[in-house]
Amino acid sequence: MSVLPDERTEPTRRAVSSRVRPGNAALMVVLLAALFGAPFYLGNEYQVRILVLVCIFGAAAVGWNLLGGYANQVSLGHAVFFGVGAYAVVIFQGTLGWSPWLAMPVGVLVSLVAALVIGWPTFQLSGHYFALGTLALLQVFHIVARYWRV
Amino acid sequence: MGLLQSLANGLLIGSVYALIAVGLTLVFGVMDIVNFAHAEFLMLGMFGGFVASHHFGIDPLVAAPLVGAVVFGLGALLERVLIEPIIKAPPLAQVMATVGLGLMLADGAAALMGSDFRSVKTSYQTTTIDALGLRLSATYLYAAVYALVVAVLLALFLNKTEFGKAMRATAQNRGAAVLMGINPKRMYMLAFGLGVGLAALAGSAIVPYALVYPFVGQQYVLIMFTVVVLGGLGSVLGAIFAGLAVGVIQSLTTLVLPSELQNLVVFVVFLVVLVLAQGGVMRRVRPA
Repeated sequence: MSVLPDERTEPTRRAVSSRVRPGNAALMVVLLAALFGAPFYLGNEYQVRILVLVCIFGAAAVGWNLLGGYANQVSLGHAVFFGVGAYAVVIFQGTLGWSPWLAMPVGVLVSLVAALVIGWPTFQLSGHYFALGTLALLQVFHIVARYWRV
Repeated sequence: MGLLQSLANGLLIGSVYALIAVGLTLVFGVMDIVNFAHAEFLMLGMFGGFVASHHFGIDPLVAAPLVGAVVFGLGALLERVLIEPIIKAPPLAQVMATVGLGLMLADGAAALMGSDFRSVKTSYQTTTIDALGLRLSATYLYAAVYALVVAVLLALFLNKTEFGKAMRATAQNRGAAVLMGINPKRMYMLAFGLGVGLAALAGSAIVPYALVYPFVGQQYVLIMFTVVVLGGLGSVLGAIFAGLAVGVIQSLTTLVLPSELQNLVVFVVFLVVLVLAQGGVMRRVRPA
């Protein structure tokens, strides 16, 4: 497998080079306004919660796309970093009593450190083996998370 | 529990891992496809054994070959429709296709059967067999003997029969195999059907002791990959020995660590082997 796949197999590459058109930009602004305004016009907390989840999973998926789409590394263990971030916040905020505004960036930092530690061995793998290695990390994290009590 | 008892239990469990993994390694060796949906075919086999036992009163061990045959047909069909178009595609497409197939099978089973945990009743469920001072559970023993016999039969099939040789020839050199009058597309269908059929057969054989539910594959998916990688991707005999080894590692781990962590050691071994061996062992075993 070549390092840089051609345009036919990598449609995302074309999206990078194309400029944002004014129409699209206007649409984006409207959508963002609708999104940020949601808590004010939505009737109940449940709907707001769903919308928040949409944004969170969207962010996680965009993160995967950086690795899987642009860098062509199919990670099956991306949820590990989602989990590390979430657990870090719960531990710092819930157990240690930090402010969530401080716990969240620290969660990002912890996940970043985990990614560095995990990335060092796994990026020695390529193609299917990278997918297998990241799948193994997902399972290891799952076992550790279920077992470890903080 | 003594060391010998634990070793024996590990070998019994490991035989089943061996049978599950030979199908996966066969598909990889012949087609160069990593089938991330393999565990879901095991799940289909478990449901097959459950349906045979619960609705038709046929013992899962007796029904296993039939269940395997049905899933063989399904596998051959899916190969033609889903795998054939992506056989030369980049890994991204292959991983997406097989992971997606696995999700569809698991969620399809959940839609059809519900996501309850189910088990079968057999006459030998609580029987234990005492031999050489060891106490072996009949369900594990039967499944293990079954699995080992089938795995060895597969090894014989690949090495001794015309079909098996043709399949290995396709794995080694597709172009040369075509020149010898072998139809590689037919070999791919056969290999994929056989691979997933064996997983289903194993699934039916373990139903007497294992709970079945649509997402049971997740319990087995990484273990089967561990076995395949340890045994050398594409090597059937390697998978049999590695299956036994993984069963023993798992079983011995429970002697020193809590049972929730029994897979942790296996998976860490897997990661280390994967990272250390990718350039060496695997490239050597893999057909070019």
